[in-house]
Amino acid sequence: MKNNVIILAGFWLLAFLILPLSLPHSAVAGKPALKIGVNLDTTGYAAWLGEPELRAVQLYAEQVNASGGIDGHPLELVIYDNQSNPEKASTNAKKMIQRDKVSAMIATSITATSNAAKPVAQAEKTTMYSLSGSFEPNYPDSFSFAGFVHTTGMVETIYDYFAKKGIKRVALLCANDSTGQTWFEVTTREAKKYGIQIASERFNVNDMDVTPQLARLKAINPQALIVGVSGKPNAVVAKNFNQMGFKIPYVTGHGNISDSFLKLMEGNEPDNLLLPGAYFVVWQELNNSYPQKKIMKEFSDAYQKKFSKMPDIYAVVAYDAIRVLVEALKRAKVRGPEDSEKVHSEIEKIKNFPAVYGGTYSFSKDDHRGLQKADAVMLQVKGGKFRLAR
Amino acid sequence: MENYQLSLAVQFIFAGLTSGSIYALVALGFNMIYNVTRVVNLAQGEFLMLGAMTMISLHAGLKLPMPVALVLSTIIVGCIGVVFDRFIIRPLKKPTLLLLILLTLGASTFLKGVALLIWGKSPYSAPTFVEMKSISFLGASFSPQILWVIGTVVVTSCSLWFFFEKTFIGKAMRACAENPRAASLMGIDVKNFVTISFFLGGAIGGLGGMMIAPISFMVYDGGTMMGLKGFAAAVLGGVGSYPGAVIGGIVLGLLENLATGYISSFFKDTIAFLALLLILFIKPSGLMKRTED
Repeated sequence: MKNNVIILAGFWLLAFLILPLSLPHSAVAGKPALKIGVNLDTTGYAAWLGEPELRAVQLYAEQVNASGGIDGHPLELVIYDNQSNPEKASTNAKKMIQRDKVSAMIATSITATSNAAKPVAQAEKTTMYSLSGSFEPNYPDSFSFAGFVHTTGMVETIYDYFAKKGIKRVALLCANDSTGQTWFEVTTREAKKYGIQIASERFNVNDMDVTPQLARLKAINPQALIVGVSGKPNAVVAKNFNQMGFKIPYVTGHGNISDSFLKLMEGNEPDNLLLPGAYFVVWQELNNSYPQKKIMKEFSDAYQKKFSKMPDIYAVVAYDAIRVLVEALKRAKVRGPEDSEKVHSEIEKIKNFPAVYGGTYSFSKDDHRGLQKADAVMLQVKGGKFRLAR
Repeated sequence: MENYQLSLAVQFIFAGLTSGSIYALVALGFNMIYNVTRVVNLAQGEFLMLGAMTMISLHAGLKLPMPVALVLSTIIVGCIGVVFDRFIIRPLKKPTLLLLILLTLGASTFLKGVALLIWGKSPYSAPTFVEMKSISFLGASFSPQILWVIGTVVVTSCSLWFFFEKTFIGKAMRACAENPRAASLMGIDVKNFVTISFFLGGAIGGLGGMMIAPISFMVYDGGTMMGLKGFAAAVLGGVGSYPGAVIGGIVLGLLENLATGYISSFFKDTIAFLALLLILFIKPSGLMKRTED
């Protein structure tokens, strides 16, 4: 009996010795930590998005805490993997809000999982920041925000470029999936405003030959082709495009800003391959007078130093998302989960906040992306690299 | 304008012939195995994928010249067919039809998994066999690779015809297909012919993949849809019939591409499977087979 008491007491002592070491520095510093939930697709089929996004978020948390936290409150990330699974994304969101008491969350990498987390954020009145370019964050009383310039802004960027080049007749080839559908709707709608004549065809993402569609598109003698699809099918379209001897600009969507796209097009690159995208992609090419060049370089250097790889556009969007969230936490003087409802209205007040993505974030009640057409730029693929389009 | 309509039609027909030829190759391989073993091989599309992937690896990775890569990967995929038979089909004690279908379905998933491990998720593409600009014909233009694809189908079906009609081994194989029991009583080693049929089935399937690799691209799961269309082509032409496989494939390819061209691209896959349903309703034995059995 006596022995047992001594052992117990020993454990008690040990616990007191170890506990402070294992706790984050926050508890030691005195002020409680502010929690941000990170609900990303770090495994599963969207892992190629979730991985760089998580790295960027962790990098920023480290930087914030190294410089004294949020008004002295350390930033703590609550990280859950949703496995690219909508159901998981929804339960993760519930868990981090109800159990972990996060003040806001970054959720998620793709539209499907974001759509699943959205109702939870709405019901719990907790701000969620999606990193999906095609997720819709703008609706009445929305607690959702999202990264990237919306597709409309991207299409306007393309059409502005066309106007500059005197392009009036455009062939449109869209996939039969959700990306293709969005592109089809937005490009045809915006064409009316720009006075652009459109001929349009659709194709299946697993088609191995789209020459019939391209042959029909030839009818209007197009001055440019827009291909509304992300990833692999571009290889087939580009091959057919070259084989049929087209010499017009080949324009595709911003979902293709990735190294794997460059690799995909290697050897089949149309002469003039264009796509709308972010200034960050070409930051080294920008003039030193470009206001965001400095933060772009800082981010790129820090990311490379920590992870020994170049940050892609998804890392940038995630980095910006947590920057915006932390800015809102600061401005709203959030001190804990009880203040979490203030976050979304505070984000709506953020104007002209410099974006590492390029341009500036100006949110409002009706704009939960904060980025406009002016924040996007036409890119050109030349020699296996993204360049500013001339 | 008339010229434009003509060039459009030519473009559609050539696109149809191209994809039709690929379906025909898949259907030929499918029939090859079915005829000798009565196995409905749902992994036929995966042979196509393996053919394309192996050839691209040999050519781009090991820097082998294209003809060598082509022959070598045909043999390799043929051998995979043999291994497939030895380790998956043959160990079965009581091969029932359902069991065999499930097994080949499982094998197809397995092969996809292996391909995913080896090649990852990225799509691969091969250069055209002969360095050539695109061909112009009656105002339509297309890849020179199309001639290779059509040529391969012609050569393959002619040599199959010769093999089955004129050679002793071919005749023996037909005997195995007609009645394995009687064939073995006549001193034919049926098991050997099963191996040969799997080798040929794999090789022809693989060849199909190699032919489209320069036109399209190949991913680890890119064979499944092709396999399905090839299956549809085989049923359309009449399961087990070689001329039926070729005609079924070409008809399917033409239907699809003419539907895409003249109606809407939304109907492409619908047309293929609608044709399949129609033939099953009207003439279940297929276009090229008499209704007996």
